[in-house]
Amino acid sequence: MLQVTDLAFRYRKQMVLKDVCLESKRGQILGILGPNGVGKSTLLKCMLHILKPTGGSVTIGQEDVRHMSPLKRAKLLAYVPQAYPSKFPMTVFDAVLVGRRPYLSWRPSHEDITKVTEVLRLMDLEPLASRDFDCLSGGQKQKVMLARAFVQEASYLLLDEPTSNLDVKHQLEVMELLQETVSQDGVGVVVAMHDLNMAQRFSDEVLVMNGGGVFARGKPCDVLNWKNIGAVFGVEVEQMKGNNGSRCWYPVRPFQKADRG
Amino acid sequence: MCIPKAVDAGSECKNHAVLDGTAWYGATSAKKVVSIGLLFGLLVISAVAGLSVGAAKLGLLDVLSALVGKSDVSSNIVWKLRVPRIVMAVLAGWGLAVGGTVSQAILRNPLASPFTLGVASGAGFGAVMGIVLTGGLSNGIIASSAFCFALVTSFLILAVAHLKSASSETLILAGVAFMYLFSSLTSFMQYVSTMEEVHQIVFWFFGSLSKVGWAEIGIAALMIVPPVPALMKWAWDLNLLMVGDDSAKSLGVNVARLRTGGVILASLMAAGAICFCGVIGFIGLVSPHIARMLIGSDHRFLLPASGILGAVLVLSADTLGRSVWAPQVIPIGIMTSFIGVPFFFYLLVRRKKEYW
Repeated sequence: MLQVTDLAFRYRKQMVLKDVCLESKRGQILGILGPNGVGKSTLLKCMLHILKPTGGSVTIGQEDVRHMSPLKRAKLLAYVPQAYPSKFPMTVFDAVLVGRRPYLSWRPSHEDITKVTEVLRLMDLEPLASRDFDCLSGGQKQKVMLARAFVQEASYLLLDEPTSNLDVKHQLEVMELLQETVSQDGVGVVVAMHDLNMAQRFSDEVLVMNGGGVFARGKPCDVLNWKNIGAVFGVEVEQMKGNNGSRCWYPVRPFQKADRG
Repeated sequence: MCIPKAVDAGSECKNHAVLDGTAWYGATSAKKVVSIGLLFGLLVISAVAGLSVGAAKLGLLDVLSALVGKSDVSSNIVWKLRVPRIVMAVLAGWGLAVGGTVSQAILRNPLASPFTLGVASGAGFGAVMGIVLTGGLSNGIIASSAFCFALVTSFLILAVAHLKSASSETLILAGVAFMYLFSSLTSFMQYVSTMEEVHQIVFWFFGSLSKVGWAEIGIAALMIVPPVPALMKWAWDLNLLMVGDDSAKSLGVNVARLRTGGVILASLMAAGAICFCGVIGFIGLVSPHIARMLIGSDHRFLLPASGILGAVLVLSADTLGRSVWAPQVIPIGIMTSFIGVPFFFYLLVRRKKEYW
């Protein structure tokens, strides 16, 4: 289990995260929700030790992530960032192959190549293998980033708004892909997201952040209600029901100052 | 990991042939190795051309007999004048090109070169100090002074990076700031120098391989050759830097250490070339790009390809510089741009898709 206990992060004098606690179990998706700038990306980076927390701990099993070697950490935690900077040409195959870095020797092994080929095939990225990563569409790039995380074969996937640049179809495809990976491979997924309806539909648990801390945590049906959404996001929402009984949220309007008072 | 279900990545995904990853990857790697071999062949041809061309024209047989010492006059020309010049050209081209490749990777910037790190302007100021202090009489002092200031610049940049953060933006801005500082100091020194010193300063900035002997070559080789194994060992990490600092860190790369090490080694290699040959611009910027166009961005192949290409460019520029206006010698720093720019534009325009 990936456990975060009383995590704090301060950037100069500004407190960004305070007393954040969460648990991510293998075989489950934990959705992290919250308005812009609340610290979702910072939380993921602290969990990965990309940023060094100023307090608290992140443990996998009994071991503190801080004390792990970078390579061991990379075998346990895979990361899909929000942005994918690319200044130089790189084929899709190579862009995925670098995900094998924790296992790579100078010359990639037969296993490394086979894993990459298998993931590209299963994600239908095979025909793009020799294409320049930079020439892909936003949706294709996002899938390549996911493919890179998959070939890393980590126990936990940490994703930072993986659907933010995608159209509705690609959003659903990516989330379904994650859901099926979780159920088949028992990988634990922590995903920062904005879309309340995606979180409601695909998360086993959600953690709602506000002001750098945890506002609410639990099952989506318990945590996502008009009161919590209104308090955290500052919007009035209406609940709607789909034909299959699923719930979704329709944002009506932002609260005015008078509403809050 | 087993991925559960195929998802649609767009229209190109339909009706495609199955990819045999191992065969495909093996074939693309083999092509890159062959390309490096061809570049090496080009380097050998350039070296032979360099040995035979000059004020005294020697045929291929003359060169071969001179190399084995059968002809006294030709042997003297080849061994004392041309071989050191060619060895230094290869070393300088290799050092500048590999230094440029590493600079572009660690700064994640296609406009970067060892000059962006302030090395050239630091070395230039050092050389000017050497010329002014000795009246231009001691090449050893001029080279030593250039080398010291090249390294001083690198350490100043690293100090700024340490105080702030080792991000690529910090390094570039610090490099540009020091470049302007040393350029101003160089201009000031020129302003207060005598006409004779100014002439020597200008000549040094043109770049030249004419004052290089075996002692200088030995020192330059010590600065340019040893970093190569370390850089080759870091090839995968340099590949990872291209996909972003956060991704690289999450995959186990110590980004700050890699960037600091990269700055030191790239500066050392460039300084080894600049302090003995003067400012040879353009090679460090363009060789990595030409090599990338030929074999891609995998640094395991890119570093040697770029190095060999840099050596070919410097060597060809020097050979042409000695022959097109013989017996006058056009300085190497001028010739590298004359040769490299058209070739670079040709490759840039010929490519069907956008390079950057």
